[in-house]
Amino acid sequence: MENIIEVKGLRKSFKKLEVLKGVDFQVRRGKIFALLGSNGAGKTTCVKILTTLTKADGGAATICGYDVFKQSDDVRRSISLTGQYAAVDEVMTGRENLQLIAELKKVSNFAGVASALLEQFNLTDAADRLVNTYSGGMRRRLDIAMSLVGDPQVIFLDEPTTGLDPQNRLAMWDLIAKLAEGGTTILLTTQYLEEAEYLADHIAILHNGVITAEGSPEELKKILPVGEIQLEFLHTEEKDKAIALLQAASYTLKIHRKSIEIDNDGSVAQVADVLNRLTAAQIPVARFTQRQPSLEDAFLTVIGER
Amino acid sequence: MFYDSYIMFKRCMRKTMRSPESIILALVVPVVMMVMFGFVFGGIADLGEISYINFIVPGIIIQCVVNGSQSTSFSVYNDMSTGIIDRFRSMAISKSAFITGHVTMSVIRSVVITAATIGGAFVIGFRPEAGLADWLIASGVLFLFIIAVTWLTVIIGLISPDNESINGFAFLFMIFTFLSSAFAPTETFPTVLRIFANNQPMTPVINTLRGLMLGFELGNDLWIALAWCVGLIVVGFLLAVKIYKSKLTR
Ligand SMILES: Nc1ncnc2c1ncn2[C@@H]1O[C@H](COP(=O)(O)OP(=O)(O)OP(=O)(O)O)[C@@H](O)[C@H]1O
Ligand SMILES: [Mg+2]
Repeated sequence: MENIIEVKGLRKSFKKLEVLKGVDFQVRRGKIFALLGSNGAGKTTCVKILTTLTKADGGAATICGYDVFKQSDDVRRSISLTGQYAAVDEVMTGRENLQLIAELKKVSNFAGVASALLEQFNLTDAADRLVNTYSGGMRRRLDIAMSLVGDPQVIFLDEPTTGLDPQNRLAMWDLIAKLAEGGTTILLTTQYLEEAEYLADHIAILHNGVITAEGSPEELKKILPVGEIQLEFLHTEEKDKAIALLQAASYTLKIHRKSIEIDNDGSVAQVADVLNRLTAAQIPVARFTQRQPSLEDAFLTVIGER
Repeated sequence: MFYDSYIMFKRCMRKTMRSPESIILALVVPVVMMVMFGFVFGGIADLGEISYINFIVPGIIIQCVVNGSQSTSFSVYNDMSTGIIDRFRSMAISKSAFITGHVTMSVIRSVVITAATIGGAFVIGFRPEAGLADWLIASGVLFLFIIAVTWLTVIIGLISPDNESINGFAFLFMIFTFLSSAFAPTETFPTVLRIFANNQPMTPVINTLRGLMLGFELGNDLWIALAWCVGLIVVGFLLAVKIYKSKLTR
């Protein structure tokens, strides 16, 4: 399968701050690619370089075979950007926002295109209201709808779910997955491991200016740290009983003053087994928490391995 | 390029029409000023044969151009400080279209506001003696002045880090109008202020308008006014383009 985006040795500094120190990755046509990184990792910088908004200091990048630095107009015709901060016009209606982009992209039948997108993004009822009356989720949807005008081959989504409530976030995940089914290539950035795992076909972790790990979610699962279950007890005797019980069942435990931790790879069966044993032995658990590995844990593990 | 600029202009136009308050305000202020100055100070101002209302109308017109253009700074700033400019930049459209759209809108708005203010002046009692040729020259000078001010307000919109700074520049503009020949002959100013007033662009523009409308000897004022306007347009245009480009290639 062919690569639609190829990035090699991309470097960028702001004054003395080296943000990108040689970033390499490839994105395959029709796939969802997630660039994962914490605040300030350089995700937006990367997206801005690829969407021709910022000049890189070094390296090479091609999109649809066009050189991002030398053939920027060809690149611009092939892509669209939904930036981290909504690029919608507050004092225009949703429909007018869409029509403006359609006219600038010289789409014939721009009114029809706008109506179709409003329909697709569930904005028909709000179409003729000013955007400053829209909710955060509606704005985000309109923003992405504007990016779809003219059927670009590659769509860049910079942190598409940041600032959305859980319900809207799920809706956004659905929407992005649907876009990819339609054959569009999507490069999205996110700070959330779970989001990347859920959506992406391929994940690259950007940390300290380089891609520290990449692969499919399954491949990454193998190198990333496992999560854990934490059990808290009110009394030390209960804790001690639980330790004895679980160690007898050959679980590896980390023991704290009032709680114990068990490594868990997300398996529900394991959780059920632990709880069943404790219930059967009538050991009361004051609090039960399951912890996903955080992005920080992931970085530490990945770096530790190198 | 013309097509892109036209679409950008249409966008600015739509946004302007959506908030007519700004236009109405830009009209109300000069009319109130004329009434206030004309009737309140008209009694004490002794300008020989000229009525005070006739005297201040050119200054009021200049003030109305300057005030009316402030909204251009705000709209440029708003577009530059939100993600909107990034979306335009990531599209295959002419880079200058964004600026030309704003400039065209601003010039048209100023022309309309100026024409309406002159109309208002007639209602209040402005009685110029200008012939057709005088009006044509005056309109030409005014038009150039409008374009010059527009480029300045575009620059202000590009460089201002926040809305407060734009208000600061607006205040600076106001000082320039008051320290000019707009409301009193500069000969009546203390020395330092007089030197300033006589050597800033608004004074020759106002003197030119006044001369043409009231039939005075023009002297060098017309040429000085033209030189200022053309100079400001050229410098303003080049500077605006340079700042805009440097903002785009971060
Ligand atoms: N125009 C700029 N001038 C100076 N420094 C900048 C500029 N843009 C970004 N930076 C710096 O570069 C670093 C990376 O920024 P970037 O916005 O790419 O991070 P990010 O991964 O998108 O973070 P976030 O998750 O917060 O959006 C940050 O330290 C930021 O302060
Ligand atoms: Mg960012």
